[in-house]
Amino acid sequence: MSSLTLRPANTAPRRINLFGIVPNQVKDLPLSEIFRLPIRIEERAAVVGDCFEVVDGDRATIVLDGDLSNCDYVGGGLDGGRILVTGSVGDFLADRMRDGVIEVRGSADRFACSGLRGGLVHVAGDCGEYAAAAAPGAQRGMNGGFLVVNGNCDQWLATRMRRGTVIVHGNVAAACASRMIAGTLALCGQVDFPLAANMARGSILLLGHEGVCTSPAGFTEPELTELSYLRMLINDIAPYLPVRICKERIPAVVFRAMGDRVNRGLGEIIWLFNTRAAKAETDC
Amino acid sequence: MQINGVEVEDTFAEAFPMTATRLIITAADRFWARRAAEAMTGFATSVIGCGCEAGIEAEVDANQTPDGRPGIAVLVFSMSGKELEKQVVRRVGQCVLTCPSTSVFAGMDSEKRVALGSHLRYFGDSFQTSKIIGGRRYWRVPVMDGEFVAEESTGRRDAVGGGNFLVLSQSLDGALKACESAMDAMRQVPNVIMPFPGGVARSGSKVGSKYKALGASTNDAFCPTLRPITKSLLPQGVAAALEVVIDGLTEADVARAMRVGIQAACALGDRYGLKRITGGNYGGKLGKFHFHLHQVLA
Repeated sequence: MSSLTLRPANTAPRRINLFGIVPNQVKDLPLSEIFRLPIRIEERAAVVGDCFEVVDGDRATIVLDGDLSNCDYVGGGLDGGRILVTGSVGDFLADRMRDGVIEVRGSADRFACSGLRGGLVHVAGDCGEYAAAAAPGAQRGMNGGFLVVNGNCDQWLATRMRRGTVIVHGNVAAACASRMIAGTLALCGQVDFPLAANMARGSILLLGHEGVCTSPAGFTEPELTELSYLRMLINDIAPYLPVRICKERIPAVVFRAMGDRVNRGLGEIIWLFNTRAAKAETDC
Repeated sequence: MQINGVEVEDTFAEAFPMTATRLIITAADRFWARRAAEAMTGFATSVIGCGCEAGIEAEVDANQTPDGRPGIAVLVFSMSGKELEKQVVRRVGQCVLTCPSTSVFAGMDSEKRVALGSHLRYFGDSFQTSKIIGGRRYWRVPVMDGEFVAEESTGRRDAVGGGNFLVLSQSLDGALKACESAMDAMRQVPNVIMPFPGGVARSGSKVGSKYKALGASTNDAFCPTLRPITKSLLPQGVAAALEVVIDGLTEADVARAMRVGIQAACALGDRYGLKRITGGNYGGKLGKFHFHLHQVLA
């Protein structure tokens, strides 16, 4: 049996709020009720049937078929089950999601996973600004779960992130991990500075870095450190890492810097592969 | 019943309910993991005087430990969850945290929890950090060789303590050989420990004493030197009795260990003067678990 499928009925560029259109909400509803599920179109009350054609199917998975880049809060309130988006989505992907899986084959706009609390979100494309970061007015960003981004991430990734793991296969723009509270970032591409300004705790694994390690401002100089927990962490995130990195052997000793010491932070930046200390490079 | 010429008495061993947890201690190599495990399980022969009974259960291959390093599985038994937690935190804090390169992980999943890293983390003096990996929280405490990693807590479960059998021999040497043979076999059994030195106790006790302050005293009925003056339970010709004590996670685990141990001891037979296997009990008044030797061996 195919999955319950929602297709945008028209392409009018109105912002649609899809919070609550998730498998755990629709699993016991007849198709007629699903048509009448409340959504919001630019702050006006509406129902699913106003904007989507609905094809009945297995409720464990909802397929959102098409371009949903005008749809915000996709996967909002998900607490089990799976959502597959064949195109791109708008802002606030996976807000207040606690469990389950969201797979976005396109890209996600701003504040993706800002309100994520658990489960797995996989974005095949790029993420806009403030992914996993605190939304306006919020004290904390992402508070649990996994965000995996195959593409790139724009500025302010993981700002005030509290908990959980973010893995980015591509490049990351500036201001990543600003005021990061805790959690884990595994960044496999290039990372623009400034990085981790005012970071309090948490770990940033720089997996794609080669050559000289340079600490961001406020961090200690990179030092060789043996961390027994690292193997556990890498094994945990290995299923979501690019193949080229999974093939690398995890070194027993890595370069590590701590900060942001400006605010007495205990965060850590870890360079995992093919790196040299800045001091050693200078000496050469 | 006779096995290889050794009489197995038609009696039962009496055991009592306990609560238990398993810890996995890892280190840079097996040498240091074992040193930590030995220290942690030292002075843990009997709840009467040690607060808990503990022992090494097995070695754990590096590919089966959480951090991919060689490990040792340790079982700790106590009479209550509160006392178990007190003993675990104290022993891990003094014997594992202090041992170079070690980490400690939960070896048991259960809704009932025993604090581990959640208490030990304070040694970090606010420099400690935690990391949630695979839904479990691990505390990273800075120490002089790097970091001591301790899982937040470990599970605990109901268990059985005090399973036993007694080896009666014509000579002390024969009794020791029989017990050593039993120990070699019983150490292969999972989910059990034999908490006494080498797994064997020579000071089997009876309930009560002529001294009011003591709750237990020497089991004079099995003391060969007292045979002429007490109501001895030692057959003629027996010069030494040793007791193998077993704690296990389930009744079945204890019974399996008893069976394996008795069979291994009896395999030596007459060569070492082994005369009889019997069980330690207190008339059924001490514990609710009764291991009838003939049923265990059936």
